[in-house]
Amino acid sequence: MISDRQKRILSFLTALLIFGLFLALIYFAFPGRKDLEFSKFLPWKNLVIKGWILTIVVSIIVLISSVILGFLLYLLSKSKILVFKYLADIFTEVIFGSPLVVFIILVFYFIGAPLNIDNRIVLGVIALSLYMAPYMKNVFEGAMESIDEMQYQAMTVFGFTNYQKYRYIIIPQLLKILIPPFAGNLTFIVKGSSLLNFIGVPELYNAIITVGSTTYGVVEGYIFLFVMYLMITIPLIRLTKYFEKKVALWN
Amino acid sequence: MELKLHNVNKSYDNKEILIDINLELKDEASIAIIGPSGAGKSTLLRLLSLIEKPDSGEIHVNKYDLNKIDPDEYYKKIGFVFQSHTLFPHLTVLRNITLILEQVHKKTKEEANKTALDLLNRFDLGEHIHKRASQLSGGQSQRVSIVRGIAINPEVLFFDEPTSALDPVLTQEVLSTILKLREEHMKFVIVTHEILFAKKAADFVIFMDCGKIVEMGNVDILENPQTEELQKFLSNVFLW
Ligand SMILES: Nc1ncnc2c1ncn2[C@@H]1O[C@H](COP(=O)(O)OP(=O)(O)OP(=O)(O)O)[C@@H](O)[C@H]1O
Ligand SMILES: [Mg+2]
Repeated sequence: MISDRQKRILSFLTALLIFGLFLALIYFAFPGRKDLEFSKFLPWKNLVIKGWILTIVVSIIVLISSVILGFLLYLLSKSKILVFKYLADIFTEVIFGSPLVVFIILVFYFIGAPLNIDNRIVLGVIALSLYMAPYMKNVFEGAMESIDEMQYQAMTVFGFTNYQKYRYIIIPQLLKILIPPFAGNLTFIVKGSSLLNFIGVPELYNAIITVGSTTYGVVEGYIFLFVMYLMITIPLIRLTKYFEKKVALWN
Repeated sequence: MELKLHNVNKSYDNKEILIDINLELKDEASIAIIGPSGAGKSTLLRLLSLIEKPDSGEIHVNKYDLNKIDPDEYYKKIGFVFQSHTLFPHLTVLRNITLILEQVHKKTKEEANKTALDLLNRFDLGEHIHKRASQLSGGQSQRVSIVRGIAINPEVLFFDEPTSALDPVLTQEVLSTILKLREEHMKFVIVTHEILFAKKAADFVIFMDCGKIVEMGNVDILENPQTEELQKFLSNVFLW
């Protein structure tokens, strides 16, 4: 007899194998496969690794700043002053309706030039953070709803000030609920950061495309990109799932 | 306690929930509010505790005019026990109580701990103080809620159906706790479906239906209801 756990591992490995075979099939069906030469990238590996690290660093900074912006946006959207609420609503809808790449380029021209920011990494971080803020706002909204309405009434009637409510009751509970969707959005940020290539940020995508075109190894470059992004995102996705499970248990 | 309501109205989304409530009580120790579901009992309790404000009308509780008093001042004078699930689930039992004493009532950590521990022990909750609120049984959780309500030594304690989420055994456990409070001269207003309990615990009974007070009076009205509505309500209740 095999245990449930063994059965699951076996099924997982089988699925992995089928998927691998499928990829192999695609690879061997690719007519230009004989011309592929991955070693072309070796002399450039420092540039590529630097780009890979920049992608990770930019993503983490964007995660932090978009969480902060998202929280401010959430507060605005809950404001009793209707103008603030509508400002937040309009911004959210504009962002949800815009392609990320268009937004990045517009930020580059219309925020970069007037404010005299010519550091492309800084501009990229600003663009991505602004773009992610409404998504983070939604995460906050969902999490806030998970705290029972009666708990808010209780906080009120026990006389907590707004600061005390957040500091001692709301935020500690939220942190546990917020971590999985934050990790999920981080995956989104990592993928989205590839578009910073369009304003010349030397992140992973930019680095590999540059190397690919100098060495005539564009297809190899995309295969590298595929693998190197997965090396960041798959662990993140696993981590998200892990937190989701933990939070489910905690409730 | 003293309770005075003058032409109190409250609507939600243009639906009248409380209609011209008038009431004047002097010196009642314990008041029970009964009535069918949707009558507006919880809404009335939220107005009395200033969780919400009426659309119009005046409310006085003891010497406080709820239209005039600073809500934060009033909240320091009252306690509230909800139906269920309002202990803060991420905190321990002890911390659920000391947090309020320290942050709102500006007690020192030592004072807060001492007050909370004394009360928890007195209500047989001493062994649970370090559990998280989310790990308690329903009955324990409600008893902790009661302790939390009285820890600040309120002038009036409000209960909104404190046992309706509990099975009969746990209900008894919580109701005896409330009776104990009565012996200790705690003044309270309780919304309850437990008519037998209301008979034992209340001095004054208010029967509500459809947003109005239909009948009220000394607890004896539960034996001798005057209105047809209350007669019908009580006979339905006792069928159970
Ligand atoms: N915040 C709210 N928004 C809209 N409607 C509400 C709100 N609170 C209560 N109501 C409505 O007001 C009516 C009276 O509600 P209330 O909770 O006061 O009744 P109740 O007498 O306490 O009933 P129950 O015994 O079921 O608790 C109900 O029809 C309810 O749907
Ligand atoms: Mg109710």
